[in-house]
Amino acid sequence: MKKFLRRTIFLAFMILITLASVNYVGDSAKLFNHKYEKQMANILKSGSYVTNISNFDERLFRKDFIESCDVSPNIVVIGSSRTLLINQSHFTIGALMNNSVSGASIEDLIAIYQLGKVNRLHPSKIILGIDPWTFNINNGMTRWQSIDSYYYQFTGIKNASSVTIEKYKQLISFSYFQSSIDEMQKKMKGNDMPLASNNRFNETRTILNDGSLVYGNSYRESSKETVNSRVELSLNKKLYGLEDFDLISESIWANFDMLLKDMQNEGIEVELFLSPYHPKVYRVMEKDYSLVIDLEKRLMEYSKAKSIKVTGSFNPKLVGLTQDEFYDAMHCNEIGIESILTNVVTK
Amino acid sequence: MNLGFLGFFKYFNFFIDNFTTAFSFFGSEFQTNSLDIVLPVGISFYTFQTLSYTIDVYKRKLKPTNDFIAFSAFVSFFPQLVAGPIERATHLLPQFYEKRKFEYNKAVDGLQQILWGLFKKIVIADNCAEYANQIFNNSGDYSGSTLLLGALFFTFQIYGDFSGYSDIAIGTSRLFGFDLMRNFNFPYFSRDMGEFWRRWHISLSTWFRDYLYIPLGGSRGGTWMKVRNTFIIFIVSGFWHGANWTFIIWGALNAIYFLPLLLTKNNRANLDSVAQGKYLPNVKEFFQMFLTFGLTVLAWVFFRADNVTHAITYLAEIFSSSFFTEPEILPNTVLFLIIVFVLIEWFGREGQYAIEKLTQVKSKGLRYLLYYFIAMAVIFFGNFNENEFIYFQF
Repeated sequence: MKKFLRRTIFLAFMILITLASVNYVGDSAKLFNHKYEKQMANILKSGSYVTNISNFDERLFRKDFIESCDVSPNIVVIGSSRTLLINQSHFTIGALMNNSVSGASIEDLIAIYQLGKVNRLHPSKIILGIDPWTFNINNGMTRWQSIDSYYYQFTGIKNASSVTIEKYKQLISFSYFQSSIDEMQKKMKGNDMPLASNNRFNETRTILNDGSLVYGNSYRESSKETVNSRVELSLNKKLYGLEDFDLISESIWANFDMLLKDMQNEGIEVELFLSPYHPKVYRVMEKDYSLVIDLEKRLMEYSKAKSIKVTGSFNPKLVGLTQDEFYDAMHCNEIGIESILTNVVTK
Repeated sequence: MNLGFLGFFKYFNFFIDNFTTAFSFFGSEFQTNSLDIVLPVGISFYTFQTLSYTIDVYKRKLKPTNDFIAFSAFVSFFPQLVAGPIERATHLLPQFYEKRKFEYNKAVDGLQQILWGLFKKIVIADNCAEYANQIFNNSGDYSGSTLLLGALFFTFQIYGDFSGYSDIAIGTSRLFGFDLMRNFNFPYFSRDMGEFWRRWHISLSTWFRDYLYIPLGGSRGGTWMKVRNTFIIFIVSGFWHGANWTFIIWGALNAIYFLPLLLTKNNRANLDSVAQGKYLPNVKEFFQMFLTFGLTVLAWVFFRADNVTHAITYLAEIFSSSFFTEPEILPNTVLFLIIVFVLIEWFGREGQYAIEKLTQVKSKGLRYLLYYFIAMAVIFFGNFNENEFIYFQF
């Protein structure tokens, strides 16, 4: 029995060592090496755009980006990937800074706002991207934990972070191993670091120096069929972030209210931005996710009462968008965003 | 009593729905309500296991036990509780009376079999499942060549999934010193359908043989008796899998495959392992395996399809001109993994499981290195999307 245990433990140990080493060195999501996000922020600070980026921690990047900012912008965008395309070209007056992060939850919105406050950003206007999942307590979003201390600082909740444990759990994650092996190959080829670029349009995603995003060429130039198959694929399962969305969370609403009050108390003009869904997806929403429609109504009533401007709508028809103005199920393209902002579809 | 539970939980709604449909067909309205029944996991497996005890005691093949704990452990033995192998009381129950002692060789062999089971499930079955699901769920969008590929992926998915589970169950039992019966014997290398059914889900096939086929008269009697018994056993076997016409047709199709062999007395022509002691099969054996495998793949379409219409349209598209177009989906990595898997299984086909002979590698260092590489292959190529075992639903 002892011999069996000794040998089995030895073998398991060797496997774990390999797993942990590859996960630490390859580090596909840059969990153990924060240099990547800092380098991205430095490139942007130098005035260039940054491209050849993959699997970085968007929250940590935003933190570095905000910390590297010397001059306070006039307009700040905080939201999810659905507001990431809003850029300087959409505004003639005032410098813009887009601090949106993919899959933003209410905790992200608050933490990023607080990051700005801590770093003395005093914008005159904040465009706050609101998504249906923002108010879904079961949205499963956990990525905000990378910057959770700012969320706790704002809300006054005692820090209950488990992010460190979660991070080190990745050392023995099998899925992380699979992506880290790929990353190790890139490292060996010397093709793993972000690159400075003066072109807005590149093979891979590009972040402009106002913090906004331009998708990679192949994504931007997707055919109608490809976009359609992306939409169908997303309709085959529960819509993103809307699993078990059975009520508008009152605790999230209270946090949302607290955030908006704080912004208004700071003298900041707040504008809510509702990014539309693909027409096919919205039709499914009307049928199967009626709470999304209720949420938009409630947001309208709330904004009216607080004199807050709302731009856009989850309903693409209301903002005059067709399926041609979408990259996928929930991201409208540059033309779509421009159309919403320049036509100023406000309520 | 045992069958009553199974009948209620698994087949009640099926019969009610079909009665309703039949009455409507003849113009009568027959109001019924289906029940919202949650099917207990593995009910078909432990029902059959306990039935074997009752029948064996009735037939005086086994003395009824007075040991309640041993009997409870026999019924609920965790490695094989939810998806088999379906053990016989005569084989497993006596093992609970014995004093447990650790056996190094058995434990090493058990762990090795678990490792191979994990490879089959996580690397082969779960990777194939991704494409099989995509193709079967959107079969209307794909050409015949892609649909054939989808059927092939499901063929390897169900084998990797179920035989992988059996390997894990048998290996886990061996760690505790228990021997479970073999459930798979490289069925895709069979030369005819009779051989296939002696090698696929052995614990269920032999259960039906001993408790249904032989009591019905087996292959004795006239042609009509043989045909009747063959259809009964295959259709019941299909129905055992689930209350759906697709499973019944899958069973009937296998009966049709098997009958010519039985009627020409060739059903026991291939009792040994193919190309025994050789590296490669001869041309005849190769074509026999190819044909048997092809027939199996076609039958799996019924097993996997949502309903009979789906299966028929799926097969019709495979046999249409679109079969000659390039497949829309061609996942090279998964195809590569399947080829490697088939080669390992082929060279290990004379063992209890494909990598059994590893225990005979004399160099300890080399053996552990091979274990290490297989484990790393599971981690590297594995699909970790929490795919449940297919047979849990039965």
